[in-house]
Amino acid sequence: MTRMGSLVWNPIVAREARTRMRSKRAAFILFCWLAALGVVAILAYASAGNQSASVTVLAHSGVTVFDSLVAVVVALLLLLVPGLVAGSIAGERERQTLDLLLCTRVRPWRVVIGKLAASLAFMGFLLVASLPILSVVALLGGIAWSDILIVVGLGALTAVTIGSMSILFSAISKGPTGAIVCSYVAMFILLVGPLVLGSYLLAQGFASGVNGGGYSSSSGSGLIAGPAIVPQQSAAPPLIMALSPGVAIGSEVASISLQNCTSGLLPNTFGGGSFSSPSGYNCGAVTFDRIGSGPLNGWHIWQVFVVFAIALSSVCISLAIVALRGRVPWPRRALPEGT
Amino acid sequence: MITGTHLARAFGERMALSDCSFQIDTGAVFGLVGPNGAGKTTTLRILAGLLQPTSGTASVDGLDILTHPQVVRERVGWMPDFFGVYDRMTAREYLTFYASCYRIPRARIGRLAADLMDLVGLPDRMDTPVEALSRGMKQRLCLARALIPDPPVLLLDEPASGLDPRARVELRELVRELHNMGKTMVVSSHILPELAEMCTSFGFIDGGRMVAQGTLEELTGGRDRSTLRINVAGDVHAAAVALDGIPGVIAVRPGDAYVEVDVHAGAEATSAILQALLAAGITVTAVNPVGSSLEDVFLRVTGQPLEQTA
Repeated sequence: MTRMGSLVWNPIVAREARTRMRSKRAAFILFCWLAALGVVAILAYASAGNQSASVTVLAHSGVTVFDSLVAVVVALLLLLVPGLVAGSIAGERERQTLDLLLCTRVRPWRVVIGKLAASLAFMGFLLVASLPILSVVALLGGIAWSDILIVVGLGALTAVTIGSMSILFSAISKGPTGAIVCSYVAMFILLVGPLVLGSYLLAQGFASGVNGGGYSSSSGSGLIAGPAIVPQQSAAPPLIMALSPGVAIGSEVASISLQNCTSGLLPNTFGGGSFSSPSGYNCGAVTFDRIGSGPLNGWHIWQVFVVFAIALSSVCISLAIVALRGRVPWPRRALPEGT
Repeated sequence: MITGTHLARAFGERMALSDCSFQIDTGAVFGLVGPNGAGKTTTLRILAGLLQPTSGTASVDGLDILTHPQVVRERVGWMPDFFGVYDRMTAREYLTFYASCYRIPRARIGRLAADLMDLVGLPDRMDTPVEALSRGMKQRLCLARALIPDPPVLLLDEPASGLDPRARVELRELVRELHNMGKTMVVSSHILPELAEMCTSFGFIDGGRMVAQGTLEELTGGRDRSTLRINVAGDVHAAAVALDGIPGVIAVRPGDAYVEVDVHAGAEATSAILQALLAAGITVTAVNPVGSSLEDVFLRVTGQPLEQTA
């Protein structure tokens, strides 16, 4: 086996993928996933209002459908990932096959990565299966491919982050049930915690009059906002809020919609042409997509989340490997794998 | 050779193993006998490199488990007392998966899986889903899995547990075949008869200690001395008097409708005893050896029968 082949070698991924796809649950999840996306896409398109052949109106519909699909995809990701990942290692422990696996030449880090990759590969499979529905957005226009890629990338990173947290609970829990419960709780905290804490600090900042002072931004706030008017404040609240995947994805989606609205132009994803904003399109409420003060001044919210998500995932995966290594004895100095 | 030197293992406050020492010769089939909770599985898990002893050490096939636990894990065939199988896989896929985990070259895996299934007597079950196999078949499939790296040492924890009589016979034959192949095996069980028929030496473990170890002959006190229980119809004291002074008889103990006679082993003593009793007009209804079975030895060294301790 080549050096590269040796590095990526992981029989667990293939086994997990094979057995998972043979289960009725996989077919059921796929059906529900596509059904949910399909229904939401149809409803969103119908609710977009004028169904005329006007390209700009279609583009507006594209934005609406895109927003709705992103919301559903993220919600389903959050719902599925802990359930898929948290039971993986804990299930091996419950089935008592973990020791058998650790007796082989598969090292604990490969077990952790293999289990995580196999579960996330299934999520990737769901995303691929939903491409025909997602392509509706491309057909309607209104959203640039780069924006779609950023949002899809953020969704994937969110899945990896929650998957990493879940794999940690899977590695340290005695059974799948505890691991799954802990994973959902952790996911909820990750999703809502930064938002609540950030909002609280924001409110405190207003109440006490404390603000960051001296931060320059287009809106005079800690955040660079489009049409938003947000009072000046400390840099901490927006930074904390940016740690939530919901805020990161939400801000990006809102930013896309707002950009299209305020510019009066809706880029067509096919031809790259520009069209006037349809009349009556409401630019919506206050939103933000950048940090407007502090050391990360000018960073997109999603960029802050990406850094945080990568760090959190790395920590969780490392701890999971450590937990699994602790299950069996190891020599003080590890022997090379070929020994 | 497998050795354990003053092995101890604590789980919290409880000592699962304490000062356990033993030695198992290469090529032996070693029966690890003891009641539930005696420390059998703990001992086997330590030997398999899956558990660190609290103190003491052990070596398997010349490798110290403390300094080379991973190498020990890879060179020992470990079959726990559960099946350890995955659902929604065929037997072929199951073996192929574990062969991949042992980094067996892909070109060799198909042949290896077929050979192992043949060895364990399941050649026609290659494409049967694992969950559709019977308990005995699953056990044999797990043994095939343990044999994938061609380990010189096999550790079998309660292999016959839950098997029907036919499956037990098949397992026994399989163990014999592996013994003929030169494998060193440690087989744990709390069911003595099944061990007596497949093992070449035994170790009695009780309360975390190895209380006795050796071949059946060594454990029963050697070949030169045995005890006979002779059931008689009539006066047992008259029978005891009749046996007094017969060559080969060491001691006579009258009981309730029987006499127990310690004799130097050999057909001559038994024959002389029967002749003396017949000459005295005493009817003999049964003659049975006492204290020569594994059960009796276990009773003697632990002070209680295996069933009661289990």
